[in-house]
Amino acid sequence: MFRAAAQGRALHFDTVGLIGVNEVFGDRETGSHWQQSTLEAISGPLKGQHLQLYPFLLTSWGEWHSRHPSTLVLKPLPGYADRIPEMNRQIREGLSGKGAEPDGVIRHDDRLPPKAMVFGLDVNGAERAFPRTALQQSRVINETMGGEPIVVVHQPGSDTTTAFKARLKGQTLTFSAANPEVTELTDAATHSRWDAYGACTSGKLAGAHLDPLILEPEYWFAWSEFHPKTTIYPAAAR
Amino acid sequence: MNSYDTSPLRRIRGPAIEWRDMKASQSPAIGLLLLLAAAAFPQAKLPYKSIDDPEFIPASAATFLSAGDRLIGIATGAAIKAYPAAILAQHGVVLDQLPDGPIAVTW
Repeated sequence: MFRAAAQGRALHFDTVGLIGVNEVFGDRETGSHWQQSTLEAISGPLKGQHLQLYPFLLTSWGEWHSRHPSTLVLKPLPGYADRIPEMNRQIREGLSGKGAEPDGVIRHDDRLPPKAMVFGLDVNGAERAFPRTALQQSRVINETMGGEPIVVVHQPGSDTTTAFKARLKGQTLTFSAANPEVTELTDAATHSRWDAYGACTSGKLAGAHLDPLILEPEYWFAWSEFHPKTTIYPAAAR
Repeated sequence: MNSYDTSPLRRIRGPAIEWRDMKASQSPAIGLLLLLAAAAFPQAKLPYKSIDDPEFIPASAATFLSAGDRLIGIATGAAIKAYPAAILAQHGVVLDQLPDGPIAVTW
């Protein structure tokens, strides 16, 4: 998910192929090609330019609908609607973490299984992969990346992961889960209550919001291919 | 979400895998019959292409969604929209206009 613009100009994208089993988009305006995992133009007049990630959430319909009852939903086109159940089955299968590395991967990194689902995060140029399995264990992760305190929050019920800068008005906050489903958190400094979306709901900091960070869900083979300097959570295990 | 080798670019080849599985488990005669049937009734191919002018429906009309289905959601200012993964995966890119500019939703 990215802003469809570069250098102040709106761009329209099509999928033009794969490099390293990662999609490559072409923009109709300049014909430049863009690698999905890095959002960098790899050829054409805009070569070297980067597209900007746009804030988004990967979640379940149940969770999204209860948080946003007035949400609009993308309408499927005729014909494509018939394939939704089969697509959902394949998407569920893709979460298993099992399976061989697909043919065509251009750089191999065996620190994790190739099809492990990870959430990639870039903070001030520091890159880290948070494996879905590690998130299911830890659920709330207080870390420092690129000199910035951060918190990653995993709600197992809806399989939803969010991340924020864990700093408010210069004060670093450390979070822990207030229930097993991690729909609520508390911070150690003020014992205020927070939801999993960075909003303080009660206590001394009520009304405060943490700055969100954008997670990039990918297979490990793709994240590691295009982010070779990535570290992996938890650091001690590797 | 990107780089799935279940991505539609590969998914197009799905029926071939089913055929291979059948071949292993069926007698040659039944296998031949299935092959002929597949040739006589080819699966309609839907193009894997971007959606340029997406249309939206209210949540109450999205009866094709179940609670556990995956989606990409955006909630920025006035715009609250859900892009079901099962639709995104068939198009690769959805180009949309938000109050704060154009976006590309990808899978």
